[in-house]
Amino acid sequence: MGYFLTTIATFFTTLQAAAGIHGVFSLAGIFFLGVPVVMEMSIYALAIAQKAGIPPQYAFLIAMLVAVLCGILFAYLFVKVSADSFAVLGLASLLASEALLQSWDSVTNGILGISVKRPDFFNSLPALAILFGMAMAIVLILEYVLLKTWLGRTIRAYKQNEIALEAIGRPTKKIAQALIIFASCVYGLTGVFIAWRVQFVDPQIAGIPYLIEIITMGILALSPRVRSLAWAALFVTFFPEVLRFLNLPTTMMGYARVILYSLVLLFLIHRLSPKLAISNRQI
Amino acid sequence: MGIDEQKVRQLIYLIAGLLTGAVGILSGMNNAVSPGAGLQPTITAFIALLVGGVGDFRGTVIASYMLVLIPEMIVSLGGGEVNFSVTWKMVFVFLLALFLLMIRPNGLFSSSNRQS
Repeated sequence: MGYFLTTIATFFTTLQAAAGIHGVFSLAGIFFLGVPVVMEMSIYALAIAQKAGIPPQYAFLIAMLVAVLCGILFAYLFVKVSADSFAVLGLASLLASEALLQSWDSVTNGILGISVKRPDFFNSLPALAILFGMAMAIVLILEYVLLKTWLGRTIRAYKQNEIALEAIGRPTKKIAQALIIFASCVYGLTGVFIAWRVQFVDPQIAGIPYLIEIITMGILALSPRVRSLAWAALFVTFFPEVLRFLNLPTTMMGYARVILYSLVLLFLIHRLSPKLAISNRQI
Repeated sequence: MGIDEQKVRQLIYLIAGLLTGAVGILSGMNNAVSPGAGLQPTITAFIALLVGGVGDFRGTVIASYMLVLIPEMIVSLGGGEVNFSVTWKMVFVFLLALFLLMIRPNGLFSSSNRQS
């Protein structure tokens, strides 16, 4: 039962994360590679606030505030630098945040990490899974409504022709910034949920392997449908479970997962991505 | 013009691979070898390229020196109350790159207009 609930909870948080990357990366084509940083920062804000004696529910609010602030910072950066620089800076911020969290050990406890307490009313795994399911449903409904309105169509058009969109009077920069902030909020929430599930954080909780997982989902869910999100999350959650049947040593499992995701990502980029690109498919 | 575009592209990849391999060998002579050792220098190289300006060789060389030397100096010269360990270097590289890209988005020696 424990394994089942953990896998279901993981699926819910993965689907939520997929919804976060869907708008900004899959539909708008913005290479917001700093999403794991937002997640790390909100998780650490939660853990540090709890370490300072703040009750879990208030620590949650602080974590979400940090996620929003990170989102605003990235959104500001997006309009200040070129698209290439934004992508590379996102990647660099990942290494910088890891270095910061490892080095500033008086606050973050360095590589030893910090334990995280769950709020009392979500202290059991079933209660946590229900909470994750509810949050995921809300995020998916928001995503569905977004895709069905003019805003969703504008986001899809943004990827295809930003200049034409600007010419018809749509505030493209503001839309892109709103997407970055929305993705940051979703990842802040996902980060808090992951921290509540594993009850521990360390500087490698959302590093390059997590980014590979996110990008894999982003490419799998290129289609502007909520259904494609669900398939992407299902694939990313359950595909590495085949490794359990290979009797690999436990120390190798994490690395094997990363290798598997990387191979899938390479395959997707090579074979599927051109077919799913907006210019080559029927919308 | 009769130039095979694909061959030019392959040649560029070959040259880039050879140069990166040479950097890897030289780096291996000076640093400990680990599975993720290539990531940080690669990202730092990309940052140097963008800070210096894509297509601007002079800017890239100067940006490379700045991005290596300034964080190195901050880490080495610290003392007393303010003392940073070597692991802080990437944080300073990022902050410096952020600052330089904010004031010169298209490269050190170009105008400050944003290029999408």
